[in-house]
Amino acid sequence: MGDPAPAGGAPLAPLPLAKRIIGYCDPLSAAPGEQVRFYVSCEPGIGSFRADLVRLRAGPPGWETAGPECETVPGDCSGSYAAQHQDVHPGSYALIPGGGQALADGPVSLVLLVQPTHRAAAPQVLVSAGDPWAGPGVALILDEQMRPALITGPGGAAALTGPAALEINSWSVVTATFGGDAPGQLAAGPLSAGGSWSSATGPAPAAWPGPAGPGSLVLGAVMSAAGSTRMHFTGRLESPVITAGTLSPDRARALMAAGPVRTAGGTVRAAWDFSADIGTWAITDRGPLGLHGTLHNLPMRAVRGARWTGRHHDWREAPGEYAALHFLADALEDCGWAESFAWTVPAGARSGFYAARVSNGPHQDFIPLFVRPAVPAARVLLIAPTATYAAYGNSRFWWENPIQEMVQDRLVEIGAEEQYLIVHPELGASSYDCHLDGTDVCYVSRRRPNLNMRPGHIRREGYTSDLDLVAWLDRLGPPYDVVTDEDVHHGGGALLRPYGVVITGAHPEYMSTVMFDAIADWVRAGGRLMYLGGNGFSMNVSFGTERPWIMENRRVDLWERDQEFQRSEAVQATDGLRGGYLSESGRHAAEVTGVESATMGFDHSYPYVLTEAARRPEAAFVFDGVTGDVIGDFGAIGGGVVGQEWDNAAGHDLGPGHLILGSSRDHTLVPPLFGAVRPDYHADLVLYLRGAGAAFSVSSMAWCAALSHDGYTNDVARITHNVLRRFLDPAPFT
Amino acid sequence: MAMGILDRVGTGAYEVPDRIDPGRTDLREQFLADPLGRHDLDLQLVVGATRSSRAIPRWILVVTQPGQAWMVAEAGRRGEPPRLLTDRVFTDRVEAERYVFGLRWRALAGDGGADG
Repeated sequence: MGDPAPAGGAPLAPLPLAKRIIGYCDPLSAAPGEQVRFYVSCEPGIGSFRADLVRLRAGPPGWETAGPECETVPGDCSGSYAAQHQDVHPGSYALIPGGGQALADGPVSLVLLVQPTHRAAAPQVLVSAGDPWAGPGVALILDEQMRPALITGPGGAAALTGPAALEINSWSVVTATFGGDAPGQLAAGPLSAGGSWSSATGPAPAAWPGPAGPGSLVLGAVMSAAGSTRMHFTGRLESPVITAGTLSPDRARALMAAGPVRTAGGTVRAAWDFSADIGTWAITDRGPLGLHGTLHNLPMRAVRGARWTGRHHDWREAPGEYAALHFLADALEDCGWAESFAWTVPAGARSGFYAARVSNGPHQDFIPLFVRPAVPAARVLLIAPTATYAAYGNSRFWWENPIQEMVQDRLVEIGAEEQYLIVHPELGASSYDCHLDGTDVCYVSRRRPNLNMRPGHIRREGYTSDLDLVAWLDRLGPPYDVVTDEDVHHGGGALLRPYGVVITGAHPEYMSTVMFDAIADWVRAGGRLMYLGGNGFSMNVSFGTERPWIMENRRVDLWERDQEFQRSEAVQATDGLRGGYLSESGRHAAEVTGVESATMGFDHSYPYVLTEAARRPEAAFVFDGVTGDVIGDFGAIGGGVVGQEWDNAAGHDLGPGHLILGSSRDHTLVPPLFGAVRPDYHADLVLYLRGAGAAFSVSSMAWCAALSHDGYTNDVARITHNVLRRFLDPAPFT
Repeated sequence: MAMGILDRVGTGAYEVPDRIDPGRTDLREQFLADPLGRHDLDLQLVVGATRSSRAIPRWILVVTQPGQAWMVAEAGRRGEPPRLLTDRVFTDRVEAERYVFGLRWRALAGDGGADG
């Protein structure tokens, strides 16, 4: 080794371009007559902001920096609003209303299984009732040294502290007895019989309940009287049980070993069974009081518990072995901000890409939303790939992981949105990132600002490229409707049926199996699909019905995923299907698009070189007016139409209607070194004719960014238009 | 020694080294001549080594004027602001690439490296 790498010096604070106004809306898509609520937070010092509703699209070259082209939509929400700085409170917890009553009339004993996964600088609360740091209450915690402690307040003083620290990533039984006149007791030890226990005994802790009477019980945090939570636990909890009277370590261990279902009865007052209803955000109490609860800020379900035997790798086969919840101090489901303004989509509003533009002088944010048609109003449907927007939302891996610099073969730039994110961890991470304890992010929510879903984002992919597509469609003029991935998930095949042509965005990587099946069936039934993106129809995600703003995404197949997670926690809680590749559930992209995801390379982009198949009569309509054999050696992404992420047809023989019209060639070494998931790492331009139905697959994320080249007068725009025109003609392909 | 993450990406046909042969100044010169150009396999592996080394912090370009000006910084732990490596503002990002490559080369190969 040579010289030591220099350490960074002065912190760059404030960051020069960091956004000072951000926001989100709910819902993300709305039809005329429906209301969208907007939630905005401004940095201190900003007194007011202006809001306008706009339809937006890509503008002239350089628009990524100059801003999108905006068409103001008259609406009753346009105007000036008082600014408000709104805090974010991440951290998962379970709330059990009235749960404190199980602690009344002590002494009582609390026992549960605990697996800490993160050593925090502050105490981590396992179970609390009231807020013993601010008033009456009781809490079982791990202190800064990872020792269990019983806090009975006021002031947060520890009544008892266990002598031994819990080990990171190991399961322990922790039990505490308190209330009444009995001496307080705290003990911890292994679940297995015969292990040594550590314990502490002291005077009777302060009485509980306090003057306010029994309130809620909270798992994984403490809740203030105002309702906000803090001191979150990171790690797994399982089978909390509350019993009347004292509880010996042997009895506590036996209760935990027996499992939650068998604990009800006798002195048991409450016994929460996290193996019940794993697909929901509810937790079930098997005890006599029925003290059921709800989960907040995305604790992970369907995770291995202390009683996992290793015999099962799917929670549906043995839910009792997956009876844990993984609490995460940095997970965020819902900012819960005060509403700033609302917009009711007016009757007659054109379906499309919209945003609320919120601004104060040079400070500005666009809060995207999508307007659905009240009823299908066009023959063309554009599906905004919102599942992929959600998957990448608030990505941090660009600068936390070397992969991005390697696949783009240059240093990673940090733009305005990321300059905000980099110092605001409370906005949560993406499903490409890890939590503080290294746990893969498995749930993402749209009830928070998604700063990747912004026009002109420095990564220039996804949403930004889709605005290129919107600009081309608007210029071309065919009527078209817009819906989101979520809309397709909930609407299924019935939503697609009225349309003759479905157009995808530039990167429809993630979709639910319901979406995949709906689109696949629609194409088989004669629909015409224009797949204008790359790495699409690839990965499985799940939208819950209970809280539709949450998307589950277990990216089990890629990158540095933990091996045990890949093997035994790959099955999603909300749909019971394996996360990762859709092909794992028998859904192959090539069946729909004629191509399959091949690789990524963000360093250079390439043109397509036409093949002999491009001269076939069936393909003549594609190339009407096109004279050369090299297509797309230009574009806003790397100067070519094959770039970022792309697909090919290698290994797929789908019959005579499957035409590989062009391929990329002469690739750099980035795909084989860092980006390829299989050795054939070129891209293919494919026309897949299936009788009445068809798919035209550009197979690359960079295609749409080339549409506007030379004032939209170019072969890429010409080909795309040719295909759209022919696909709108219902005549079957011959 | 493979570099962790590189075990799982790419086709697996190549192994990125964990250090640089200081005698390969030809590779250094090739990079400095055209940092954003297409590089041959030997150089690509060396550049991969500099980028994935666990011995070197994650260095990033903080945009100070979009498309026009950048500063080189070390990414902090989550929630911490980046820390500047230099007060220099780069108005040509290629120069920033050369600057960072030089620092990394010196850290992994141990010679004079590139001019910063």
